[in-house]
Amino acid sequence: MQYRCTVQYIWLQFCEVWPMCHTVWGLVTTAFQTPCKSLTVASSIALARRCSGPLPAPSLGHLLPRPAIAPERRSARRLNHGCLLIAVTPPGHPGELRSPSGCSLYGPGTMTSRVALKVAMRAAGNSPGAAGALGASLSGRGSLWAPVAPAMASVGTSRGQSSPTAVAMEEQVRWVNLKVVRERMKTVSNIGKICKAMKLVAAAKLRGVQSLQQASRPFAVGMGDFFSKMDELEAATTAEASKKDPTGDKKKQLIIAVTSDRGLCGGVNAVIVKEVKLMMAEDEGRTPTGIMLVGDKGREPMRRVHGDEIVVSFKDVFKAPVTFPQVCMIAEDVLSRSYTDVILVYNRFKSAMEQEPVRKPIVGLSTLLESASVFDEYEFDSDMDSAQVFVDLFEFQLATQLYNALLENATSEQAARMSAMDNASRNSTDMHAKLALTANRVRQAGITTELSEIVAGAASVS
Amino acid sequence: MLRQVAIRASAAARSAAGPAAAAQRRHLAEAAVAADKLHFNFLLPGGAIQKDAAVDMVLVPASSGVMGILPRHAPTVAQLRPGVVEVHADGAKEKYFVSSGFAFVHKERTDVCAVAAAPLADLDAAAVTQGVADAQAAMAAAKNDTEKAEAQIGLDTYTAMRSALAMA
Repeated sequence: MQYRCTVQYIWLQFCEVWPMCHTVWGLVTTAFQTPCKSLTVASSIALARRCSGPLPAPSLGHLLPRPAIAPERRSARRLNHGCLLIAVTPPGHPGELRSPSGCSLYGPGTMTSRVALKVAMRAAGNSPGAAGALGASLSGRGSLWAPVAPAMASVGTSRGQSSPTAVAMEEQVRWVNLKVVRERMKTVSNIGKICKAMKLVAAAKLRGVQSLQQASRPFAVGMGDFFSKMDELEAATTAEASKKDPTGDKKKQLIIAVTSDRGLCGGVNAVIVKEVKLMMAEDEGRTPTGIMLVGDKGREPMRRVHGDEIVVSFKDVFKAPVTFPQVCMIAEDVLSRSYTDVILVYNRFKSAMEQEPVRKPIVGLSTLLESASVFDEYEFDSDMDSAQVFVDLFEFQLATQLYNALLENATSEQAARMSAMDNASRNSTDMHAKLALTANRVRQAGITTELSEIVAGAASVS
Repeated sequence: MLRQVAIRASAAARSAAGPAAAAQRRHLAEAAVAADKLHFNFLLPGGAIQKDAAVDMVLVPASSGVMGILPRHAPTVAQLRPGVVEVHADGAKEKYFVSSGFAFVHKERTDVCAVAAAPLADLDAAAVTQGVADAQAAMAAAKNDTEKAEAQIGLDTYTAMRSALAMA
């Protein structure tokens, strides 16, 4: 009985190509010993060059010499896959050579033979006994297909005309894991690069905004000092007032939550949201409260729980460096709403590593007027009545503290982003290293498996 | 008041040829300023012109008139109008134009918190003249009270700048 043979290179992988080729040749010769009456080196070469003809007796000692399949190897290289596969087709079938993706290289043909070969290879690689059985049944029945069926079932491939891609996938599956890992490595390293760039940008921005913030601090402190006596007094009076009247009559407070416009800056926004929620919980709804959001990132988390309390939200506040006139606009909006108390919640910048959320109450105008006696030691020099001076002072104080809060928060944001991105890029480096280890392990495991297949194949032959 | 502040600040900023920072003279914080000297801070939102300086006298444009602050001045809060702050130290005079703000005379120190300030020498006379003309035009074109008030503030500030330049 004579069979037409075609040579298919499906898995030629770089330097592992040669031993693989030899093995597969050997394997095929073994598996189809009986039908292929004789297979010599010469006819093996002919086989490699996709010639058909009577197959000479197998001689495993004569593996294909290197130059013999050089042209095919080159073409197989182009397929970017490794390993050699020989398909044996029954007489009358046109020979074929297919790429792993299933497209025919040399014309149409059946894939069945390739499946058979694949199964034979697998059986031989995994257990020499199975290969022996296969060889035996092949020789016994003289039919190529029947004995292959159980082996095919064992690898989960349907018998007969299986789809080319399924076969190709079968062949590639060993390297799929590696491919996935390599893709993941690439992703991780790209994300790491982005994080690193963001860190550098944040560091540069931090320098700018920090110098602005440091320059503005004396101003806020100068204004704050004047009101510090007031704060003490207010703390005392409110404590007293809350003792007397726990409901807090006619009080209406506005919480100004300062967050950033952009994300990826660590926990600076989360802590503000948490702080505001805590304040709301502490108040237990006794005081009518409004929430003003400066910056865009507090909106979504606040809306879920305290959507009804949000009175206004400013976004893109930090797009350009904060300026005093810009803050005046926000302060005007605060003043246009009648609240007796204003509490600023923002991140105070302590260092590039540390930011802390603070609540800064700004003494309300009514309280200020009620307790004007604190300022008795001061003489008020103005062409207007002293009440108007207080109003102006209060507005000026509000804008100043708001300005300071915005700058502190912007500085905290950049600092937090810098350290967050620093951590992220460091994590990505770690992750990349771990993945590289995994990739190498997978690659080596693949090579080891192939080697053991070779050895097992050779063992089953001898 | 805040709108005033913002308008005045922008008017002063437009007329200042160079940033106020150019003329900033920072003194190192002195632990204790001598008794016959005034412990003085000149502060802006964007930075301090003078911080913990020991000066002889400061003249501020309070809304009721120019106020001279000497050491051991009674505690006072003065609202500022657009005008010139004069700092006298060691026989030298430094003049700054301020848009508005407050001066706080505490027992132990004096703070001038201005919204915008620029060394008087940095004011551009041509720009000021232009500003006065623009403000007058805006005043004439003002349709409602708000616009009118805004134009008035601009006019006041530019006029103050003009007179400050004329006096210098």
